Amino acid sequence: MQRDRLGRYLLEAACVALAAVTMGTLIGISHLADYGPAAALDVGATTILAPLVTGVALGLLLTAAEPQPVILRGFAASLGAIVFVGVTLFAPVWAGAAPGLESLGTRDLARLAALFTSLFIVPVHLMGNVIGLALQDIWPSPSASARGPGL
Amino acid sequence: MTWASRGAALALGVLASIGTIVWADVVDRYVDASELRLVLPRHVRFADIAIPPIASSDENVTVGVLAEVQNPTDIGIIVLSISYRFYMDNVSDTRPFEEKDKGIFVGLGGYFAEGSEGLVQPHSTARFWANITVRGSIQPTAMERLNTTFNGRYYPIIDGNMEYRIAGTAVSDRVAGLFVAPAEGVEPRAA
Repeated sequence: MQRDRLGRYLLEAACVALAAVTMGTLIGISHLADYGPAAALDVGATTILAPLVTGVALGLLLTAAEPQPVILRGFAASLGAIVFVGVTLFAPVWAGAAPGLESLGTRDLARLAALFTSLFIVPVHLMGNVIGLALQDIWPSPSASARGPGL
Repeated sequence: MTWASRGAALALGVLASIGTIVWADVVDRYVDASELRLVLPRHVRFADIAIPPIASSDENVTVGVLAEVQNPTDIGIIVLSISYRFYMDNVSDTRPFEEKDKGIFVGLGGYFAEGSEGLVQPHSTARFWANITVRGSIQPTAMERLNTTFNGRYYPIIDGNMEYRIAGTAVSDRVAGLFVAPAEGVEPRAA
């Protein structure tokens, strides 16, 4: 029983980590479009769509009796994504390639604004979580029809 | 799990995988490009200046200026242009350069790459001849200034800059303040 619970927690943690990585990487590379022509993502569209889609997916995956745990996990995924965006922006500094973003010029320093725009991840992702939870009620699984615990 | 949750799990996995692969590639380039932009100004210089002897004041004289670009980083660069202002110093005039530059200015010279010929691969060195031609028949003042020697030597001054693009990216930048003024002068010789 305890083993099942541990397995479920690990699976949920993996889902939260996947959502954080998805949002963080996509939003991070949208701010670095100059460095990868193949990844020319629009910053605005990515900042809205990536958290929304992953939020819906997380809401569908995390089955809970109450919405609060799902919202908390969604919040954790959002924070993880913001940290990922920060890591992306400061990668040259942490890799030792540059002493600071300001040494690369104003254009790179302006990228710090990405950290502020990435704050939009939180509300959009949480909205996605709620939509995902609502969709669970539309397509209930046999095991989740009673809103039991578990994925 | 419903088909919807299976689909959601699959979508998350696929998006995370694609995101991570592209992210690693882009961040790798971002780090390399940042390093390049910081170190490149110390690795670009004018390595040689070749000014031929001038026999007649109405001939066309081509001065060769050899620019050397070292790329010590892991990412290639494409030199778009190297341009400079060419001066011929009058060493008998002891005023500082800023005060006499208008009177010793000869002309503008440079190198403008076509296509990808300006590519400098990672960890390699490339040299580009950036020439300036003075036509004595239509530029008599420039020719007179160019043909200024002291003890049989020219004393050129070059103030230039280089524009480049980082390979595989859309990032362009400039190395400014490439200045050279050989204190011992240069002997007349063809490029």
